[in-house]
Amino acid sequence: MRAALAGERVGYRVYRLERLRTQCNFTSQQIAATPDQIKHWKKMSARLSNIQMQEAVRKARAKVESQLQFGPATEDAIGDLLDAQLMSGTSVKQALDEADKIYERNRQAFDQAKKSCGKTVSLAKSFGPSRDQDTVGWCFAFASADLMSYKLKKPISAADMAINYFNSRQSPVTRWLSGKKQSEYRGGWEADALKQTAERGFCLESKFNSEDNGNNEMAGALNRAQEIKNSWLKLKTGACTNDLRTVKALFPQLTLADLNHSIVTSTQSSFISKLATEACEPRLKIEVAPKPLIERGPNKSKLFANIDRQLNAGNPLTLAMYSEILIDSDSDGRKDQHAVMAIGRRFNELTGSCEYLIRNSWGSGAFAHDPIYDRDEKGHVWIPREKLNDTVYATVHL
Amino acid sequence: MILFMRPFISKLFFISLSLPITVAASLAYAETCGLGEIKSLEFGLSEVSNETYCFDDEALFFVSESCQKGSCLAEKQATKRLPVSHLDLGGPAGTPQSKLCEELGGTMRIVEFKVKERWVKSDLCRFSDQSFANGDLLMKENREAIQKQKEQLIE
Repeated sequence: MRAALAGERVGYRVYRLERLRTQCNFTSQQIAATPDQIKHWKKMSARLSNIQMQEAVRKARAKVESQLQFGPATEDAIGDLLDAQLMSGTSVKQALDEADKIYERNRQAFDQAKKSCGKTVSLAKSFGPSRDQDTVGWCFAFASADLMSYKLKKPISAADMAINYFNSRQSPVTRWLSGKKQSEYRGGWEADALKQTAERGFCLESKFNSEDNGNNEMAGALNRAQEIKNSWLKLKTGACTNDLRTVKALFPQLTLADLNHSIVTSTQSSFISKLATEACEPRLKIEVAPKPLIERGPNKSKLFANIDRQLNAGNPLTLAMYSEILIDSDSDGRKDQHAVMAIGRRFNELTGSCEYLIRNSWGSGAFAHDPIYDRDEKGHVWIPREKLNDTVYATVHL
Repeated sequence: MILFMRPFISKLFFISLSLPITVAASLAYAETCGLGEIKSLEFGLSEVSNETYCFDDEALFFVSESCQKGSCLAEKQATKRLPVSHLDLGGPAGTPQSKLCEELGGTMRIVEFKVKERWVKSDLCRFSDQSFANGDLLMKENREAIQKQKEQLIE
């Protein structure tokens, strides 16, 4: 139903043609397409029940109103409303009058959005290309590590942060009983990951790679390293040079002595963590006090006020959000929890939207994001506030 | 005929990418194919392998040259399995590209492609016949397949 409305955009064409006719004194006959268009939407409306049509009008109007809270309504949204109205039997005049009022409100909404968006901020210069979490569910750790890297001006290992977080949530015995591999742990809360890692000290990315793990993806690299410990023979004979090559995909600076020490002093479920302990020494000890803010509901005024305040002060934040709109800007899915960073803000003069610069961990190509979003050369994407308002529910800053 | 080979379809160029030949394709942007270098970390050490592949003007999309001959597994799998719903590509476990690669039966890894004199960081979804495409190309083709499916539904 929505697809049909969005695809046809018949009402919008009628609107434009009707306006053209009245403004330019063209007759319907001079605009030959009009009768065909009208015939077409009448045919479409015959396929739908009255209740479906009323529901379509309600939804389309709600979308317009929701967009107007943050800036101008898009032509797509206004077009959807006109389509739905014309199909549901609203007179052309009534539908056009409503569209005129929306366009008038759009002008005010544009000015309001521009004013409230404030000055342009971009911290992108302080970041490298967007990271790539490839096959692991460690988005929270990538966002948290980026936050710390920004603060310390040194690349901090996201993988180490993820492992610290998971270790803090489950004892080695529980992990052993669960039979889960390290790579199978996924999802976490940035504030806790930062706190837990700060207690042990932060590990440099150069000591524990979070991406570029060699002839395999991250999960594969972890699993291959784990297999060394799973071989009972190694306890007796010690690790060989090939084993060391395998773990070096994760821990480039680890020595054979470190590896052998880890083999004899760890359990199967704590082996990767033990390797991280050996590889990351000496850790960077620094006190951090992550400040989380959670806000749910339709209006995230506190959350966005905080985002704006922090960005104005030059502080990036992590955002906890539902990721569906990143892949598909039209998606209303609210299932997939994800973590990204907000590192900038601007007012988009073309769309009338206040947009935030989002640093994700989906690689620097950024084609995983809906191409409707502008992107920069580092793979960061500009997401309008109205999209984030629906999907972001928490922030963390330092 | 699929889809993701389309931007690269024309003739084969067995050339060294250190001396690339750029040709105007019929689809509005140029293409370059030939023997090039792919860098990855192998057991913690940087390793460069030589493979033949094609890329577009902006070096955003990469695909193995074998797919130009129309019989690579990457292309077959994409023809058979795309589109994959965007809802199946979200979630906390990995990037959408890596999930799409897995859905198609490939294995993802992070690499760098040599493009003229610079290294371009990307990823590579490798199939059992050694053909490959990068994640962004697969995502782009998936979007087009979704769009096509939507249009068919409307009709």
